[in-house]
Amino acid sequence: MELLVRAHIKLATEPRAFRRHLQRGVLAVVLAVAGILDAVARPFSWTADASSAVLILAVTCLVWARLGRRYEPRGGDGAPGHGKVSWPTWATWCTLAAALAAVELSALFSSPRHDHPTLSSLASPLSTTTPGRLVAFTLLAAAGWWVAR
Amino acid sequence: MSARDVTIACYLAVLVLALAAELIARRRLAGIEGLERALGKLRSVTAGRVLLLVVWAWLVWHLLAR
Repeated sequence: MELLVRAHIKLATEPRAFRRHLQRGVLAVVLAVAGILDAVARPFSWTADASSAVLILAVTCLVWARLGRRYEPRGGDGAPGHGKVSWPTWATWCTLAAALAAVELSALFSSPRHDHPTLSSLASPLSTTTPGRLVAFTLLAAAGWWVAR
Repeated sequence: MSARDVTIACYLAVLVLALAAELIARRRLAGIEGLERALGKLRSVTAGRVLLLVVWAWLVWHLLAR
């Protein structure tokens, strides 16, 4: 009851903040349900497809809502995203990303899978267990939040 | 050495090189900055954020659904 009264006061005094808190709460509940569903699911099942789709959709909506807004890096001058990044930095990380993509795509389009393992097939001993899937879902949700915020 | 060993060795090589690059960045050698800073800068522009979203979504689908 007290919670409802507090919510009503918050809605009356700070409607935008209330709406933001409500949206975050609903999102957290939806993602928690999707995470639990995903933890008990197995790869290639409709529950795994549905929970992954919910996670992707939620983060896509958050990114969509932020597009066009001016990005303000948190933490001042030293924050990621502030100032210019040197060309050796781009060269190093782009080369490593390209190398990883090349190995992964080469394995993806080769067969048999046992001889040419992709990252997901190497992770499959973990991604077929409930704790492994729960950890993977949580880490990927955190990464998605980082992309969106 | 089987094809499987070669593929896994390639993944490990990329991982070791990434760790080395991060270490070099933290010691402020060779003018390289860390992965967090590079990704943070990429995220600060719209096209970069969309690119990160696409890569992230592919990872989610690849690791959780397939």
